[in-house]
Amino acid sequence: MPESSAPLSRRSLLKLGLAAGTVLTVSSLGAGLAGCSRRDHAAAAGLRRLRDADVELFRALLPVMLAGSLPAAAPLDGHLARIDDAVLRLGAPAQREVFKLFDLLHLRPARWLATGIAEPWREATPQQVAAFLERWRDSRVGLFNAGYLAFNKLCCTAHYTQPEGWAQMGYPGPLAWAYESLNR
Amino acid sequence: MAINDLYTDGIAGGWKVRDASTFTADQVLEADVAIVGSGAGGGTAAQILSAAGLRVLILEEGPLQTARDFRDMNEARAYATLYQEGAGRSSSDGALQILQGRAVGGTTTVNWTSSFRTPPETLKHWATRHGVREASEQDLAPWFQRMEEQLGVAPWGMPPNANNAVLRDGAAKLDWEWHVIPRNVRGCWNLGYCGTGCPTNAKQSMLVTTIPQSLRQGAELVHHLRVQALRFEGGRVAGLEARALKPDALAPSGVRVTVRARHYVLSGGAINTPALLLRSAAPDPHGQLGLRTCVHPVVLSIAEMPQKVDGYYGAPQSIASDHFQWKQGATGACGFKLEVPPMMPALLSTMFGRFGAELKDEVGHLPQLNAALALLRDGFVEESPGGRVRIDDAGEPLLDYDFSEYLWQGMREAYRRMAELQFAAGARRVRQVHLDARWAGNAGDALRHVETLRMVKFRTGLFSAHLMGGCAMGGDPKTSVTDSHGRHHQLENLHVLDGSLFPTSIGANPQLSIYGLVAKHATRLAGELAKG
Repeated sequence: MPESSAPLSRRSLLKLGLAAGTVLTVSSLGAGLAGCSRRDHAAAAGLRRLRDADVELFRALLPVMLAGSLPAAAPLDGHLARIDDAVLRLGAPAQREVFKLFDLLHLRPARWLATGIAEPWREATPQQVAAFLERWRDSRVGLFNAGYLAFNKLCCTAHYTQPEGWAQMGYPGPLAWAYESLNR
Repeated sequence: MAINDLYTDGIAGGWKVRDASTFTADQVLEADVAIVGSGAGGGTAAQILSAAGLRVLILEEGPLQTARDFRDMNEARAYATLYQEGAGRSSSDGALQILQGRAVGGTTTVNWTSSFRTPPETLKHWATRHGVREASEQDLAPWFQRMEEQLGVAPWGMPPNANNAVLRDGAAKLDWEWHVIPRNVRGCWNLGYCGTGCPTNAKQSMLVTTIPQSLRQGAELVHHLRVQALRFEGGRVAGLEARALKPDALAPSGVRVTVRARHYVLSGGAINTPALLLRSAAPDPHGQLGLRTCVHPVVLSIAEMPQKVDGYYGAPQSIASDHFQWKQGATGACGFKLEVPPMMPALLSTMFGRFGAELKDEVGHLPQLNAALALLRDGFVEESPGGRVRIDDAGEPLLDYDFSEYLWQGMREAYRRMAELQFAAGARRVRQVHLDARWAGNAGDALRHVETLRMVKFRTGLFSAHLMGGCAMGGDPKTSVTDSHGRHHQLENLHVLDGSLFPTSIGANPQLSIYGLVAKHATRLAGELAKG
C-alpha cells in the first residue's frame, strides 16, 4: 500500500475517533476470531504477559520512541522484560485496556486504518513508526492520545529507571555517601 | 551503617507477623477487631484499639518491606513492590495517573511526608454542607496534636532543596503566601527518597510507628492477604473471606482464609474500601457507595533554571503556597495548593510527552529542571462532584472521573500562576506538562501560550497522589455511607476508618487529616467495644 493512499486525513481520523469505541470493540472481536486474543495466546518465551506479537510491536516502537538513547542494534531484552513486568502488575481492568490497544495494532485492517502501517511491525520502517507516533500524539482524538501516552510511559519507564537512562538524563544516582553508608 | 529495620528483631522477640504467601492450608483467623489495610487509617486504628486491650488483627494485601529493602533508593524496585498496580494505576479511561501505596504502611510508606492539619474552611464546609458532626477545628485539634507529637510532625528545619527554593523565591518575589511544610520525620538525612521507601526509618510512616506499636501491644499482622468480601448475617458483618497471595503479592496462591471478629474496620483507602463494599454487595439503600471520590487533580509546570537544581536530592516537599487556595472561599472558583514534586528520573521522563530526539533533549536537562505542581481542591461545588468508584464483573475496582469546565478553568489558572512563579524565581524557560505545550522564554509568552492549550483529557497531564471519599461520613444516611464517627449507617459492627470517609477533598496533602480523624473515631470505638 503506497503511503499516500493511506486514509489518514484529519477528517477521517476524526470520523474514526467518533467511532472509536466501535473500532476497538470490532478489532478485539476480530482479534478474538483470528485467534489472537490474550486468553488464547501464550506469553512469549521468558515473559509473563506480552505475546510474540506484542514483542514485535515493541521491538518496532522502542528504537523510535527512544531514538538517540538506545545503542544501534541494542538487544532490547531488558526493556521488553520491564515492559512485560509493568503490564503484569496492572490490575485486570487496566490490563484489558492495554491488550485491546495491542490487539487493535495487530489486526492488519485496523492497524492500517489507525496507524497507516499495513506491514507487519517487524517490517515497519522507523520513519513509518515515527509518523504513526506523531499522528497519535497530535491527534484531536483522545483515544489516540491515550494510546500514544500508554506507549510513551511504558517505553520511558523501561529505559529511565536504568543507569544508562540516568546517565543520559544527568541523574548521578542516589547520593553516593548515603548509598555507601547504608549498603556497607 | 546498618539501619535497624525494626521487624527482624521484633519478630524474633515474638511479634505476631505472618506472611500469608507461606500458608499451605485454608484457615480461620479470629480477633476482637479485624482491620483491613495497614496505611494511615489502619495503622492509627490498630494502635489505638490494641492499646485498649482488644485483640486486633491487621490484614494487608501488599508485602512487608522494610528499610532493609529500601537501601537501593531505586524507583523501579519501589514502583513494582510498593505501589498499587506497579505505579500504573489510573482512572478507568487512563486519563488520570494515580500514585497510591500497596504495602505494610500503605501510602505512608511511600508518601513525601507533607503533614497538614485539615484546613478550617474544609471542616466548616463539611459541617454546613455534609452534616458532619463533632469535627470542627476545635474538636479535631487535640487529635491532630496527639498524632503530630507521635509522628514528629514539625515544619522542616533545614533549608529547602533548590527545587523547593524555586517555589519559595518565586512566591516571595510576587508577594504570595508561602510556608514551610510540616513533615513527619525524626532524624531525617535529607536524602530525597521518601517515594521509594525511607531507607533510614526517619519518615514516621505507619510502617515504623503505629504498626510496630500495635505489634508490641499484641496485635497480629498478616500480609500478602487480600480480603475479597464481607459476609453479612442479620444486618451485621459475620466474617471476611480472604485469599492468600503468592510471594509476588499479585496472583492468589489458592489458600483461602476466613476471618471472624466482633467488629470490623475497613482501611483499604479510597478506591479499595468502597470497592470491597461494592464487591460484597453491602447494603447501600441510597446508592451512596463509591460516590464523591475526590483526587486533588494535579497539573504540573516544568522550568529550566539557570542554576543546578538537582531536584532528586533533599526533602522532596518543604515549601507550599496556599495563595490561591481560598481566594473565593470554599465554593468559589477552584482553589489550589502549590507544591513541587521530587524530580525522580523515571517519573519525570514520562511528563514530556515527546519521543526520539526531542525526548532525549528534554530529559537531558534534568539537573537544571524544577517542576511546580498545583493540586486542585475538588468536590466542593456541584460542578465538581468528584468521581465514582465501581467494580467490574470480577469485582475489580474502577474509578470513573470526569473533569468539568470548573476544574479545567482551575487548571488553566494554575498553569498561568505556576509559569509566573517560575519566571519570578529566575527560570530561563517554562513549559506545561501538556501535549500541546512548548517552551516559553518569558512570562508574557507563557501566559499567551497557556491560553492556547486544549484543556481536555489526555492532552492535559493529570495526576493524583491523594485518593479521598467514596464512603463519605455525614449525618444523613441519604447522602452518606457512615455516620460522623465512621460507623456504617446500615451495619452496626462495621467502621470505615480511612481517607474514603472524607465528604470532599481536603485542600492539602491528606495524611494528617486521616491520622487525626481516625485517632478520634478509633478512640471512641475502643471505648464502645470495651463496654460491650
